[in-house]
Amino acid sequence: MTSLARSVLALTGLRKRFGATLALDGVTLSVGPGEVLAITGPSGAGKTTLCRVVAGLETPDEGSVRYGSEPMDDVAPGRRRVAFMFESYALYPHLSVRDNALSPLRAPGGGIPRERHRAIVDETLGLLEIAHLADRLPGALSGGQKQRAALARALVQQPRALLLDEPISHLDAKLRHKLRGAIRQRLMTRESPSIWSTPDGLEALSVGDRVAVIDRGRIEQIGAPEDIWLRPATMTVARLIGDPPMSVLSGELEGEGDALVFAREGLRLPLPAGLAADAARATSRRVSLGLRAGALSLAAEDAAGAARGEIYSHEPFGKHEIITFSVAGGAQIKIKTRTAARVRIGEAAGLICPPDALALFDTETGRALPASAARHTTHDTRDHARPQAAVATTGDLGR
Amino acid sequence: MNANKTSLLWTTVAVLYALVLLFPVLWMATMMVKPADVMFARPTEFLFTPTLANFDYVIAEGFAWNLLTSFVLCTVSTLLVVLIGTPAAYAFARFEMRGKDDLFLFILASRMGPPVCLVIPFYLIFTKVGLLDTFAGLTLAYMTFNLSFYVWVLRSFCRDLPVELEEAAALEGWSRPQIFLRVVFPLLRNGIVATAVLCFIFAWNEFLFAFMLGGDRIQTLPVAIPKLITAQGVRWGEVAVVGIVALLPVLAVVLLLQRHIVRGLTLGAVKG
Repeated sequence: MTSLARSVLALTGLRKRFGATLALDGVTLSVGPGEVLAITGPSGAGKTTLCRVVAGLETPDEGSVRYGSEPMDDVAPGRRRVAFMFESYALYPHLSVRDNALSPLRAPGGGIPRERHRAIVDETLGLLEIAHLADRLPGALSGGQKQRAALARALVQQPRALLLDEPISHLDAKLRHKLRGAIRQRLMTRESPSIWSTPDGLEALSVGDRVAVIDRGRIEQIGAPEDIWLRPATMTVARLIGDPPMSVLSGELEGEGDALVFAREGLRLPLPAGLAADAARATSRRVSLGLRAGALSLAAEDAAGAARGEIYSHEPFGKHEIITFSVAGGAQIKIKTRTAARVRIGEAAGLICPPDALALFDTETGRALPASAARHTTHDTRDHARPQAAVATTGDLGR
Repeated sequence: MNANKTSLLWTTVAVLYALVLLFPVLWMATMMVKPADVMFARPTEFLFTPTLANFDYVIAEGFAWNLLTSFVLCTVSTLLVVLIGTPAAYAFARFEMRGKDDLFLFILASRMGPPVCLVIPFYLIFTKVGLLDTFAGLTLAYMTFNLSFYVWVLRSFCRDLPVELEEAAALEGWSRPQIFLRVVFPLLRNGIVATAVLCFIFAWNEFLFAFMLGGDRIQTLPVAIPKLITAQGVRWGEVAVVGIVALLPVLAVVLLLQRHIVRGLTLGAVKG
């Protein structure tokens, strides 16, 4: 049992089809003991299906789930010892919050001595700040309270793998910040692997030891949060992650003397040296340029090296502002700045793009151009968590 | 102020409506204790000396036995329906099996035909196997028409239960029977009670099967009542006594289980 409790959860080539929809399309990944793998993607991407397959509630059409060396494919859900927090909470309506949380402990094969149950549950309810609601029925709770009750029911267990399907999405912002850290802390001290699914890319970056980005059933990228943030492997990832996400514009590569230029209607950006080296290896001239909102800045219309355009909209958020910059031809670029220069909508302005603000993608395949992706393995230092899956699913990018 | 007036108006309307509905019952209740000579006096005599003579006749004629027969028959058949029908309804709602829809339609079909069509085959079979005029025979007959109704209604209650609750319990390590007892049954309880009470009332009011398949030994209350239409005339006082007494068990069941019935009947109407 002890050795099992430290095994790797490994999914290989999972494929699952519901009617015409391919919910999972060749998902391969592994989660190490004590590791938190955050899965993020738009709704309908396959996050929940992935969790349900791991739990055994869905049978994959192809592929397998293994726990250490033990195949799980023929193991009934109840014998997998997997704790699963449902996105819909699935709280027993006729049991109090405390009894809901006690239920998995009292179930046959729970393995924790009975006299400790109450203490474990009360401690967890305290952590999630719902100790005062312990005797209420789920019907008398607010959405956020229900979510925490469901979370408590998952966290009290000592499972072989922990699956949290959107565990904190319905909490208010303040509580979400607070609990994100507390729960993560708790998951890290465990020996079991955890999967944390969330539609919020930033939440995924903040809670995951590694992050997997999934879209239409395919893993787009798996890697350390910094990698996902700085070096998105595909355009899909670039468009999903960030607040606001990268602006991705399609255009063409053109030579201009020695330099390479990204060109599209209304915009000509000379590529910085590093990016130009990558671009030189591109197989097609049709590329897309990703511009990271936080690294861009506004300048005067005629500033040196600035791209010209005008201010389309301006959203002040207090601690930062988001400016939408539009270039001729209608393309829009989001800029995130800490302090606002005085900005007037409709005014002509210049856009400064430092080298680290840019990422280049092959428009056809959607993938980042090879060399830029090659830089991205160094951040993953956890041996067991070596993302073989990334190699397998994103092809040459893992190199 | 205006809202108050409106609600007062509606309350009045509701009370009047209830009185109209209840009037025959109340009228019958007074007939229980009316002496025969003022029963149909014109103009109606509201002040009369109450008599218990009607009760004497009813008891002497053995109606207590009919009441007991009815009560035991309805209770036993309803309990059996719940016992057999609940797992059946659950299975129809949850499990995939071949020919499920056909089987389900067949179950419903057994209630679609008029009872007269069923009672004759029943009679012929019962005479052959010796079930005529037996307690077991009538229980069986009552179960056939109530079971289909019960399974039909309870299946939709089962379908309204979110399947995730059962999945959550399964993942925790509970076995199928444990999940049924710990999760499904408590949530289904109101539905079960409401449906079972309806079955009990159907059985209680049933006349045709009891008349054809019963006999001297097994005679239910609805079958016995026509005995009061005698050669000397209808014994109205006694009819009133039996009628009111026949109301009581149903009334008691409904009052006792009121909480569950109301919740059961509104379950599914409001998504919680």
